[in-house]
Amino acid sequence: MTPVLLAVLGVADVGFSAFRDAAGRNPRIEKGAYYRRAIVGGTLSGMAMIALSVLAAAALLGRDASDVALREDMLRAGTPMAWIYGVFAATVSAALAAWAMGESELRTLMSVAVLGPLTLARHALIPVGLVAAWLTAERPETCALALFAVLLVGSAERVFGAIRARRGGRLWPGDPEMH
Amino acid sequence: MNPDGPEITDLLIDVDPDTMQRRPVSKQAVLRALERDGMRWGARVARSLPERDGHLDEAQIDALFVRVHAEMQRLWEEFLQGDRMRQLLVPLLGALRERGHEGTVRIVDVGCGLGYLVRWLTACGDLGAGVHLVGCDYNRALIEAASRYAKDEGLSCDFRVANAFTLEEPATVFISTGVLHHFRGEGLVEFFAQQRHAAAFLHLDIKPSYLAPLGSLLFHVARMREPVSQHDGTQSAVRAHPGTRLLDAARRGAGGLEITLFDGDVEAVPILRTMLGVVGMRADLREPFVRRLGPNAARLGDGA
Repeated sequence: MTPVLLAVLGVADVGFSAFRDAAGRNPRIEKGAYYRRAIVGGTLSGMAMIALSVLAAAALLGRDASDVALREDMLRAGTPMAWIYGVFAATVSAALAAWAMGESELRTLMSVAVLGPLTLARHALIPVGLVAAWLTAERPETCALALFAVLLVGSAERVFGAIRARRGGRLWPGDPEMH
Repeated sequence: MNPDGPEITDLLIDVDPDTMQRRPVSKQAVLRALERDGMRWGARVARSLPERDGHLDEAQIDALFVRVHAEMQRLWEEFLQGDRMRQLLVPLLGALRERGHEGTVRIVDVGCGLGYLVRWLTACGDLGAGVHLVGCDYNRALIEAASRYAKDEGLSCDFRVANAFTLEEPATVFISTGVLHHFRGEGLVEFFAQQRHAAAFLHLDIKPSYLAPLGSLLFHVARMREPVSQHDGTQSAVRAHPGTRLLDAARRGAGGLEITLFDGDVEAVPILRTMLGVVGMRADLREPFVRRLGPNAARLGDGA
C-alpha cells in the first residue's frame, strides 16, 4: 500500500508542478487546452519519474534476492513519507475542491489563506518527508533511494521551467507563442 | 517597506504624456529613487535589471513588463477580477439604457496593461450589444501584446497607447483594476477630476488592512517567479489607499457625480474581500443601478 500511495502522490505532485510552471505565462483568456496539455504532460512525466524510482528500487533489491530486510526497510521508511505527503495532499485537495465549488469570497479565502501558503509550505515539506524517511531507515540503500525519488519529483517544476526557457517559452506540444 | 515608496515598475518607463514618446531611464536614477525611499528590497531587485550604457535596456524591460503583467493576470484570474467588474458593469449598463442612453457605450480601461479586463469582459459577452471596450496604457509593449492576444482569440476590443482621458471619442464609463494606488496625493484627486464628465466610473483596487501586506507577500512569493512581481505585488498592498481616502479624493475631484465604495467595509478578519471599488455615477443612474445590483447592493456604501 505504501509504495502505491507514494507513487500516486509523486505522479500527482509532478502534474501540479507542470500546472504551476504553466501558470502566469500565457495571458490569453481561454487557456483550458493549454492547462490540460501541461497537466497531462506533467502527469506523464511524473509516471516516468516514478518508473525510474521503481527501477532504482528493483536494481537495489535485485542485487540480492534473499535480502528481505532491505525490502522491509524500504517499506518502513516509506511510511512516514506517505503520511507527511498524504496529509499535505489531502489538505490541498480539500482546499482545491472548496475553491472550485465556491463563490468568489470562498475562493479568495482558499487562495489567500490555504492554497498560497501551502504552495510555499511544499518547499519545506519535501525535505521534511525525506528526513523522516532517513530517520526511520536502517540501510544506506534505502536512504539513497528516498533521496533519488525526492530529488526527481521535487525538482520537476524547476526542470520544466528550464526546458521551457530553452524552448522560447513553449514546453508541451501545441503550446502557443507566449509573448 | 515604505507606504510612500514606489513600485519598481513605476520607475522603469518614462513616457511623455503629451507626445507618448519614451525617454531613456538611467539605472542609477532608479536605484537612487528606491534607496532614497528606504526601499532596500526594491533596490536589491533593481540592481539586476538589464542596462546598456547606463540606461535600462528598453527591449529587455519591455519583455520584463509583459512577463510581470502575465503573472499579474494569473493572480486576477484566481481572484475573479473580471467577474467582480462584470457584477458592477452589467447593472450599470442596464441603468444607462433605462435612463435613455442611446448609441454605443464606450467603456475605457485606464492603465489596462495587457488588457486582461477588457479581453475578459469581451470574451464573456455578458455586457450585450452596443458596448465598445477600449484599453489604454502608456506602455507600448503591453498594448501591442494586448492587441495581439485579442486578435489571436478573435475578440472585438481595442487597445491604444494613449492617455485614457484625452481620447477623441470620450468614454461613457471609465474602469480600472489595481491602478488607484499608483496615484498619490493631489494626483489621485486629479485622476478622478479627469472623469467628472463621464456617465460613471468603476475602479477596483487592493483593500488595505493589517493582514494585506503579509498576505500579499506570501501570495506573491508563492505565485510569481519574477522578483520584480514579488516586490511590486507586496508594495501594492503596503501602499493601497484606505477607502476613506479614495472617497475623499473622488468627491473632491469628481464632485458632480454620486460616489460610493463597493466592499468598502473594514472587516475584523480581512481575508474574504481583498478588493474594494470606488463607484461614481451621474445622480440619475444611482437608483436603477442599485435596484439592478440585487443582493450585491448591500455591499455598496451610502453614497454622497
